[in-house]
Amino acid sequence: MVSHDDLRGMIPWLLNGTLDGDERRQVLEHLAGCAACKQDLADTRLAAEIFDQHPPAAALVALAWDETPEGIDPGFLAGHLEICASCAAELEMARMSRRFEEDGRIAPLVRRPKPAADTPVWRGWKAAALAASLAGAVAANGWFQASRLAGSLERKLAGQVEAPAAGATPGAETAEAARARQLAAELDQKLREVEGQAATLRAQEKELRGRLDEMAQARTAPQPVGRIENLQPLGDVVRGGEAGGAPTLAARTSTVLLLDAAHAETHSGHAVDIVDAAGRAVWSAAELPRDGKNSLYVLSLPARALSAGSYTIRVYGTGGTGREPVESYAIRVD
Amino acid sequence: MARETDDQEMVTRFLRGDAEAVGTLDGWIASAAWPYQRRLAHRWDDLLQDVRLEITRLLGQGKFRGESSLRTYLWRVVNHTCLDQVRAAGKRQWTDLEEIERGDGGLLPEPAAGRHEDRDLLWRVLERVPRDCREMWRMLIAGLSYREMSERLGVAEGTLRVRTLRCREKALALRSDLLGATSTNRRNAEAPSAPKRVKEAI
Repeated sequence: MVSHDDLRGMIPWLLNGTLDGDERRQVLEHLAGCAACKQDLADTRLAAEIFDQHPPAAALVALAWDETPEGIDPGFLAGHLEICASCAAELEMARMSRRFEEDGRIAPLVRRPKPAADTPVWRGWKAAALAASLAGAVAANGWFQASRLAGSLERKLAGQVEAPAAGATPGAETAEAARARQLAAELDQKLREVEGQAATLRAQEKELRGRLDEMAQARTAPQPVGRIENLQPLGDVVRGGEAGGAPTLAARTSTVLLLDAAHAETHSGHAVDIVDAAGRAVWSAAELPRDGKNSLYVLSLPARALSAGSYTIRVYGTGGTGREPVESYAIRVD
Repeated sequence: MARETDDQEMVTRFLRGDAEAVGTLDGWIASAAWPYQRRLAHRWDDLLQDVRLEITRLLGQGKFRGESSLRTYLWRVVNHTCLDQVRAAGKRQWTDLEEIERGDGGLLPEPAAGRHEDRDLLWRVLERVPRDCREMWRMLIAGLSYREMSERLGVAEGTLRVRTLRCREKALALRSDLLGATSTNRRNAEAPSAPKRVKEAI
């Protein structure tokens, strides 16, 4: 039996549509007969409206042009951008637009939108492969039809040669047979040409498929590194170390982080978490190799691995006694 | 000075429909709007048309005063319009509550000040709400279940529900305070002995 307080507590998740079927039914049934919880529902809707506020578009445009937005506390705005992924993404789009304004050499091509969900990179090759397949099918069908016709004609020719019609004159049969044989030869020639075309189309299709496979592999292939950052550990390994001197990385480029290991190596292994400003671990790895010669850990961040915000990289020593924090490093992504 | 003259001439030619001027500004519009293409691909042509109309309206009303270059001005207008469109496209729809409203034949009570809250007021409330409340509610608005939120925040589900409720109460209390303060200010301003503010023309 679910208590009144529990049902009341589920109202916000009734509104955001994430209660499962039973929970939703229970809450709705309760609401039908509880005036206090109906008021709670209305209040929750109003609270959602409050918490779903974002800085005006003009503020993001001002930030993109390195101006201080009017009427908004800069510290609050910066804090909001750390916790609001959608606003951070919108600011990045505005900044990208500004870069286009500044560099007049860039003239991005505008692609026409299409209803299909495929990415543009795949679409062209897919279309070409499909066209090749269809052409092959048409050619194969043509070959098949010609083959049937040739077979039928050959059978007819064989029948005429083996059993000339009674009463037919030898000269007339020979001329007719010769014409039929010529026709068969022409058909045969056409068949070979069509077969040749079909073979060419099949080869092209195979080549296109090969290119499609290469492109699929290229997605996971190594990419050139955008930049390399050498990070020093924070003095405080506990959460909350101020990231005043944290390097700022661009989300859109890949980065290799060289984490300077200041502590003496006393553990059998190391693990790592990347923690966002709210203390949530957004990525973890159970094994982080340490380069003993250079006292370094190396982490590779692919482009857009992290969204805009402040992060702490926490390195733990692992071994018989479990995980022990040993180093932490601050980074900012924008 | 020469730049300002050129810009004004470009505006004049654009409004007159001069093909070259229209082409130049169209190119700027497409470049400025390009980063938003992926988010607004489903209505890209309409978006560009909306932007053109907005720019034509602003230039026609003489809103471009030469404080920046025409190009920068146009770039910023495009960004403003595109951001509004991105936000409109991504507006989250809450669960349809008609089922609840029809349940017992009665409507849900309205929030105290009605459905259309002043955005400025709501923003001022948000500025005063503690950060942990904002983070928690942002997850809720983003559509996370209470189980997901409980895991991410590392708190028990019961604790999460209590905190969410307290944050809601804080936000509504702040809103009431601000509304009360606004009403008091309005009453004071309208009092006969109070000096009247002259509304400045913009």
